[in-house]
Amino acid sequence: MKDTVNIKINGIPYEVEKNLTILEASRICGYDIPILCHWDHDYCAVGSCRVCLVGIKEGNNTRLVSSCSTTIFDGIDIDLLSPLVLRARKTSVELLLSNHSKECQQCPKNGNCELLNVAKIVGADENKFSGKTQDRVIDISNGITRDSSKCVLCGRCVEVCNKQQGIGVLSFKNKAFENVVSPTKDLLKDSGCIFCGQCVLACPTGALMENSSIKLVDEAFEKKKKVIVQVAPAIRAAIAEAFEQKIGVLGAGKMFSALKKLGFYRVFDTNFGADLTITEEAEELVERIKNKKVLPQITSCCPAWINYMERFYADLIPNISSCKSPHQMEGAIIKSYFAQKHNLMPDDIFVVSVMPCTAKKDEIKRKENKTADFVDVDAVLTTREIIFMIKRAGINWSLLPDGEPDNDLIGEYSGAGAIFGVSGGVMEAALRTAYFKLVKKEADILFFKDVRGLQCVREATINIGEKDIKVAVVSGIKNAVPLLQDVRNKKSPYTFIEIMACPGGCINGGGQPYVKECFFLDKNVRNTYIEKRSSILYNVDEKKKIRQSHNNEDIKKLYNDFLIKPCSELSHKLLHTTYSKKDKFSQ
Amino acid sequence: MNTIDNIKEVKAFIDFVANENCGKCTLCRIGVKRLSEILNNVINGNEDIEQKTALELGNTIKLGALCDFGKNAANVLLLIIDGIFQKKEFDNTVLTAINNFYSEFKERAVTGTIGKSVEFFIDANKCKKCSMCSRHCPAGAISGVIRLEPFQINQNKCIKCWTCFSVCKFGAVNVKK
Ligand code: SF4
Ligand code: SF4
Ligand code: SF4
Ligand code: SF4
Ligand code: SF4
Ligand code: SF4
Repeated sequence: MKDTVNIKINGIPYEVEKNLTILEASRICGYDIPILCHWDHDYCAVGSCRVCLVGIKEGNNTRLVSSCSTTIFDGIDIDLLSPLVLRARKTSVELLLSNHSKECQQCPKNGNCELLNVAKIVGADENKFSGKTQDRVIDISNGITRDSSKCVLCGRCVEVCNKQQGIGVLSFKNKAFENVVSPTKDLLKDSGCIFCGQCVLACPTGALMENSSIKLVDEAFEKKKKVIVQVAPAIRAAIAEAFEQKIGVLGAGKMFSALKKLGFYRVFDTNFGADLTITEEAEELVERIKNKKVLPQITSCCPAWINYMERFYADLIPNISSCKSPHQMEGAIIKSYFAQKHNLMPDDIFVVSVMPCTAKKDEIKRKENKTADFVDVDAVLTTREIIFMIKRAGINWSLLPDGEPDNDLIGEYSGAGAIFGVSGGVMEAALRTAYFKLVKKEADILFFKDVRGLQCVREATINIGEKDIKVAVVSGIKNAVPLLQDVRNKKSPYTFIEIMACPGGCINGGGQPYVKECFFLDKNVRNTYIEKRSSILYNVDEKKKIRQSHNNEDIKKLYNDFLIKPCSELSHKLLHTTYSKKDKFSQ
Repeated sequence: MNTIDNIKEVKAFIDFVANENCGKCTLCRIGVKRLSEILNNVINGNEDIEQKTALELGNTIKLGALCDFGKNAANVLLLIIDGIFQKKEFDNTVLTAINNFYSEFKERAVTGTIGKSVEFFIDANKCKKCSMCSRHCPAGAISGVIRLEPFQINQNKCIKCWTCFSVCKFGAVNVKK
């Protein structure tokens, strides 16, 4: 059978692969079609927004169909150009605008808004229609803010939360004009939301956004606090996208220069905190293995996973590493060790974490994370928020020199810390150190390469000394369920499991720059960006002389001068935390 | 001449289609709503609405709505527009069209089986592999090989619009309520 079909677009013949949708075939032939509700192919493709309408000519008639959900067939005569088609698309957008609170000037989504983008493409008149508008519900939770009046009911978030993440917080409710997308119990915080922010990445409009903390940071500057910033490993893999319109550029150097220009008292790298986490977490693992305590040990640095665990798998609490996440650890060290050495009071310091993550905004409010008398981190900004602040300050990215983070007690980091941002990175980093502790010599770097990869579930068997241990790496919270069931039923073959809520890990976190097909020339961008971002971090690791957390000199110094040893009493007080069973439907 | 009953009937229809569609697609959810607002205003003598806007919107919905509910509703609304602006009365054409619409869609809409709570299956023994359903399915949910393999519905993509059920000439599409 033939693998291609003959089609016509605007009367011009083309031969293309069969089984493509009209949208895909048109793009291959060099025609773009505006889309709004269409998202990743495996998820939504029902064509509910009616923005991608095209005509199929049948004799003298033209049938309108949604190009994202209709498959081409031999002899199809596609019309992308007639007034009928163009008017239909325009009408769909104008109708959406008539039911939308149009506040583009003050909307944080402006610049990345797909509704605004299609409105421009189809030439919509925002005042063409008017009438009743949907009720406005503004739901501000610890991680995410939802403004129902900007929702276009595309259903992307519903699909992502249900099918990709397997959580099911959001659903369609009511029929006809009253139809809305809303959390099952009206508010996100009551509906089991874990704040992973994957829905935020999918939303075409400003209906789902991170809960902004920019104001908090501005106020801290105004109050003349010593505002110290730390940046997560994953940020440098994506921040340049916002300035250079392409994916796969390391943004570390310019990013550190930009942060210094923003006036922070110190600019630190959370990579240091990652090394500290590994030192503690590997010690914990070694101790569990040696003393035959509860295994598998499961990582704890993803707060969305922790939220999920406390709601749905609280019986596994003994398996979860008691380590705080890297930025919390670094915050605690800044407000204790760093503060003492500089004669500062914890209260004078305001720690800002720049994170790829919306769940970290919720994490810093956990009462379990409060160390002694201070909170470790005062505000979390997403990658998108720091991009906003850099642009607001008028800093010209292209003229920035390459800079370094400050090196002041906190500074040095290893390649192991750098790969924390990608799924499998925490595992690999921890294994490097655990191996050293158990076998008393360094393992070859490539020894653990089996834990790398793009699949959402990976396993590897590692020979440590005399025995083999099995480990697993999972990203995308839904993929963890079978493994967690095994742990629950005491059937798990693994010694150590890494879980990240976002597919691909933090490089694809809910606070990262949007990767929307409509804003990139390469329409294949959604299939490749995770790989591109992760290879940036592996490159950082490769270029580092020091590849293991336990060889980080500043970490060694921190233990000598302050913490004494990994998992000491003081480190437990500052760097470890506790978990508790939470009601499925409340915070 | 319009009787009071005629006007009542027409208004009830306009409210019915505006309130009972499944609310999934833009053209029907917001489009039919806007059209109903326009027409109610005219019927109530409140406003002088541009006929052209109403006609254009009606025609777009008729062609571009996701499923037959919205398309047919717009068809009837176009007759109502014609009744208001051209004929200046609602004659039997309008009333018959309304009743035809009801007989096809009222039960589905009122019982909420448009858009949800039903499942469609193709009976492989009855399917003549003609591809009629898959060519009409607005969600691209039906696959099969013409003349060779019976057609099947992907339940994850199906939007419960009843189109396949209506277009299959061989009664091969079954509904499970
Ligand atoms: S979501 Fe888009 S269209 Fe709506 S107010 Fe924000 S920028 Fe404007
Ligand atoms: S943040 Fe995650 S859990 Fe919460 S609604 Fe969005 S996708 Fe679902
Ligand atoms: S909240 Fe955003 S993603 Fe969800 S349906 Fe509304 S517009 Fe779409
Ligand atoms: S994977 Fe990373 S970005 Fe995503 S929720 Fe977890 S910590 Fe946050
Ligand atoms: S899917 Fe059908 S019933 Fe539902 S809103 Fe669209 S046209 Fe109306
Ligand atoms: S009801 Fe039939 S035609 Fe409609 S979406 Fe489902 S499979 Fe397709």
